Amino acid sequence: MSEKPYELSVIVRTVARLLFGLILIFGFYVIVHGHITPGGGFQGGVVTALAVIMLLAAYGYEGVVTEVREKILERFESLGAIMFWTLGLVGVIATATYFADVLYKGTPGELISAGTIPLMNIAVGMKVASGVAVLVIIMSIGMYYSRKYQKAEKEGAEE
Amino acid sequence: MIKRRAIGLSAILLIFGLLFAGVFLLHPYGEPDYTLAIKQGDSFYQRTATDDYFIERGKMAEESGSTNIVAAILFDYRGYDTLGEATVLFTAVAGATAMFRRERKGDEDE
Repeated sequence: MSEKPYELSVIVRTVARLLFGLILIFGFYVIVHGHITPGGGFQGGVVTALAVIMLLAAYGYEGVVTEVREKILERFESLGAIMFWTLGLVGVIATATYFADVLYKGTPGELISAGTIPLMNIAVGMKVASGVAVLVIIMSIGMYYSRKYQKAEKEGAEE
Repeated sequence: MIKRRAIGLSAILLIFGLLFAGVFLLHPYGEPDYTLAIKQGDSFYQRTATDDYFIERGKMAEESGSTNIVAAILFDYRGYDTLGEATVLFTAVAGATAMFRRERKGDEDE
């Protein structure tokens, strides 16, 4: 029995700590290369959110909430939404069509090409990554406090 | 009061009538707008005008500049779909945040 009952074993914690950066890098890679290789904003965003969820599983709510602040993630989520709508409006200004593909087209297959598609991928990736992470963190916060209240109620009843 | 009700009822009837009239202008159900039939082996398969547009323009990666045709359709041709999906996620996060915020405030009050 460890001191902190909400944490998993040392092996799980170490592996989660080692894999955290690698999963983040892989998620960012999938988001940024969305217009060249399979994947994109949604998929890469979920991979990035998974890194936070893995930490949450290994360290528990109390270990993660001091490192990951859901207020900042919520702001990132809104920022991604605003970026996405603004990029749609850029198409309206340029060609009178919402979500028109404008800006630098470049050579197909290069990283900087395809106009607004990679920028939209980044916006959606930001939105999905922070959105899914916020959902899981908020729900674990709710679970933590409801457990705390239940415990307090039980103790009150015993007294 | 009766006047307001009459105005509301007539507005509902008008909107319903317009929507119902719009149904008759829709494309017939079960008959897609096929423009070409392609023979492959023994079987024919058909593509609609929209499919043909996406396949022809998307596979050359000239119009969108994206070699990933899925990304080209999601963020360029069908941007509205992605907007809807993003809104769904936004609503989910807003709902979850609104639901669990009360518990945290109650904890601060103690």
